[in-house]
Amino acid sequence: MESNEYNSGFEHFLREKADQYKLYPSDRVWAAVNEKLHPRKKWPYVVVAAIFIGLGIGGNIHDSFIAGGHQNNNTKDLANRFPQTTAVVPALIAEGSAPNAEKGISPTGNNHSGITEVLDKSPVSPSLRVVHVNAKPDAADARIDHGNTIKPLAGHLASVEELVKDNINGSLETEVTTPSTAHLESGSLVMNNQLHLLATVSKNAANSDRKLIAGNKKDIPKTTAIRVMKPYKNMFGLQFYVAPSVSYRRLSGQGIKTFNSPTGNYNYSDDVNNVVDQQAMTGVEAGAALVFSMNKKLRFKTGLQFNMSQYEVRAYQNSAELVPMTAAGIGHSQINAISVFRSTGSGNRSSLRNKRMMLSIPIGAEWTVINKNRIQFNVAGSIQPTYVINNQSYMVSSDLKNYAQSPSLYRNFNLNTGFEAFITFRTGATKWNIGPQLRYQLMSSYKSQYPIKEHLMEYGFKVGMTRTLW
Amino acid sequence: MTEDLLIQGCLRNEASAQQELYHRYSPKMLSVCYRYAKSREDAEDMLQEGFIKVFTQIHQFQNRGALEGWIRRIIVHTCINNLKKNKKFSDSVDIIHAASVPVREENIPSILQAKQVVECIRLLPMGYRTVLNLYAIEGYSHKEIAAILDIEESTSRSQYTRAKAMLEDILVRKNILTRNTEKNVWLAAIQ
Repeated sequence: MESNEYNSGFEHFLREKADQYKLYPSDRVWAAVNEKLHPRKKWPYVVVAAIFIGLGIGGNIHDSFIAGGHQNNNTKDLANRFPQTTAVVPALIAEGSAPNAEKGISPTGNNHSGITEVLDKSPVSPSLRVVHVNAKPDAADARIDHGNTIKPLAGHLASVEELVKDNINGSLETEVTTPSTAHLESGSLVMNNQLHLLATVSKNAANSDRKLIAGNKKDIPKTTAIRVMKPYKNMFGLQFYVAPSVSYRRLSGQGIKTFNSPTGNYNYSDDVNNVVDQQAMTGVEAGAALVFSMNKKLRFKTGLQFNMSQYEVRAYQNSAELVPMTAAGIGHSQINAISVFRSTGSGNRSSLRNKRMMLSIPIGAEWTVINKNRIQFNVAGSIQPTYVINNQSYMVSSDLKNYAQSPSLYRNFNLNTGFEAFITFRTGATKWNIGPQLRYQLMSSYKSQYPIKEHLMEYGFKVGMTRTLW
Repeated sequence: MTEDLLIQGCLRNEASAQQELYHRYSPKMLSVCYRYAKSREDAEDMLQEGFIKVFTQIHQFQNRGALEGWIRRIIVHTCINNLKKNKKFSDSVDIIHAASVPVREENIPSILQAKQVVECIRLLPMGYRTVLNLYAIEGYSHKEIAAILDIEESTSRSQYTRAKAMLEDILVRKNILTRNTEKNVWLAAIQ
C-alpha cells in the first residue's frame, strides 16, 4: 500500500473517525460462523429418521398384506398348500344333527347361521392343523374379527382363507362372533401344535337361539363356557415412541472461591447452586424398541433411543480469561480453559445453551397393573447405557466465577434410568401408550476430576405405539 | 490472553479461541463492512463470510504484521467481492454513471461524531464510497484499487476526487465539519 495523499488532513480525519466507530454484530453471526467451523453431526438425525421411515413402511406393507387382495387367491393357495386336505365334514349341531357329544348345548331348530369347524391334518406340516370355519351363505351376521379388520364370512372359502393364512404363520387366534344375534358372544380358535377350541355361548340366550361351535369332538368339553389353556401369543412387538420433555439438571459440589482482603487472600468453598443461574428448556426423546411379552402382565424391551437434552445458562460477557476447571491432584495436573463468560457481573448478559444429544440402548421392563378390556394401566422402568454424541455444554469453573467449555472433562459414556407410568389402549392391532415419564442420569456429565457433579433430568410425556410382530 | 495464544488456539481449531478472536475484532470489522454494505444485514453477512475465511486461512498468517491488519484485509476483500457480485455496483464504479448518481439526502442521527462521519460516507453512491473507503481509510493506492475493482487507475483517481468533494460538501452541510477556505484545513465542528 502506498501513502500518496494519505496523510493529508481530510483522509486522516476520516480514518480516525472510521476507526473509532464500532458496531456489535448480532448473535446469529457468530452462531453461523461457529456452525460452519464446527458443524454438528447430522448422522443421528438421519439414522433415527431412517428407522422411523423404514419401520413405518414395513408396517404399511404388513397391513396391506393382511387387508389386501389375499382373499381372491385363497382357494388356489389353499389347494396348493394343502393338496391332500381331507374333505370338510360339517357338524351342523345347530340343526339338530349334532352327535351326542354336543348334547351339553341345546341344539336348535334355527339353522340360518350355523357355524362348524373341521379339523384336518396338513401333509405339509404334520404339526399344523387347519380349522375350517363354515358359515352358510345366508349367515349374514357371521364375522371373523381380526382385530382391526372385520370381514363377513362369505361362505366356506372366505373363512378357510383367513384361517389358513394366519395359521401358516404360526400361532393363531381368530375370533368368531355373531354380534347381531348374540347367540355366540365370542369364540376363539387357537391353532398351534394342537387345536383348541375356545367358545363362550350366551347363557342368557334362549335354547332355541343357541348355536354351537363344534370342532374335533374329542377336544370339546360339554360345557357352555370352555376355556382351554393355550400357548401365549403375540410375544414380540415393535414399539415406537416420542416424548417431548422438560430438561434440567441437578448440580452438586463445592467450588473454591478466593476472597481478597487487605490482610491477604482467603480461599473458601461455596455451593455451586448459590452461584449458577440456570433455567430448564425443552428436550425430546424418540426411539424404537423390541418388546418381548413374558406373559399377559410382564414385558421386557430393548431398542435404540435418541435424546436431546438442554438447559439455559445465564452468563455475563467478559474479556477472555484463563480459568481453572479442576484442581491439581495426584496423577494429574490442573486443567484450565479459556472463558469469555462470567457467572456473575455487570456486563452484557448472554444465554448459553447447554445442549447434549445422546444415543441409548434402553433395557427395561413393563408391568401391567390394571387390565380392563382394551385399556391397561402400566408402569415401566429401564436402564439406559448412553453415549453422548454431541456435547455443547458450558461448565462453571472450579472457582465458580466463569463458564467455559472444556471437552476433555466431558464424559462420553453414561448411564441413565427411566421410570414411566402409562395408559395403553388398543385400536385394532396397534396399542397406543401415553403417560408421564422421568429420565435421570445416574453418573455425572463430567469426569471425576471436575469438582461439580451434574445429573441431567428430563420430565417428559411419552406417546408411543406398539405393533405386534409375531 | 495474548494474540499468540489466540492464534495457536485457532490453529488447533479450538472453539473458545475462535470465539475470543471473533469477540475481540468483530465490532471493528463490522464497522468496516458497514461502510461498504448497503444495509446492516448485508454488513453482517459480509462479516460472517469474512470471519469464516479468517479462521479457515489462519494458517496463512505469518506473524509478519499485526493480526488486526491481516483480518481487516480479508474482511475488506470479502466486502469488495460481495459488491462485485452485484451488477449495479459494477455500473456504479464507472465514472460516467457515478457522476450522475445523486447524493442521497438522509437525516443523520446526531449521536456520535464517528457514527455521523460513517453515515455520511454511506450517503455516497456505491462506487464513490468504495473507492473512498479503500483509498482514504484503508490506505490502498489507486493502482491497487484499480486491480481490486477491475477498473483503470485513472478511473480510481477521478472517482476518489469526486467522492472526496462530495463528502466534503455533505460533511459541511451537516455541520460536522467547517472549512477554512483560505488554509484549506478541516476542523471538527463538534466534538
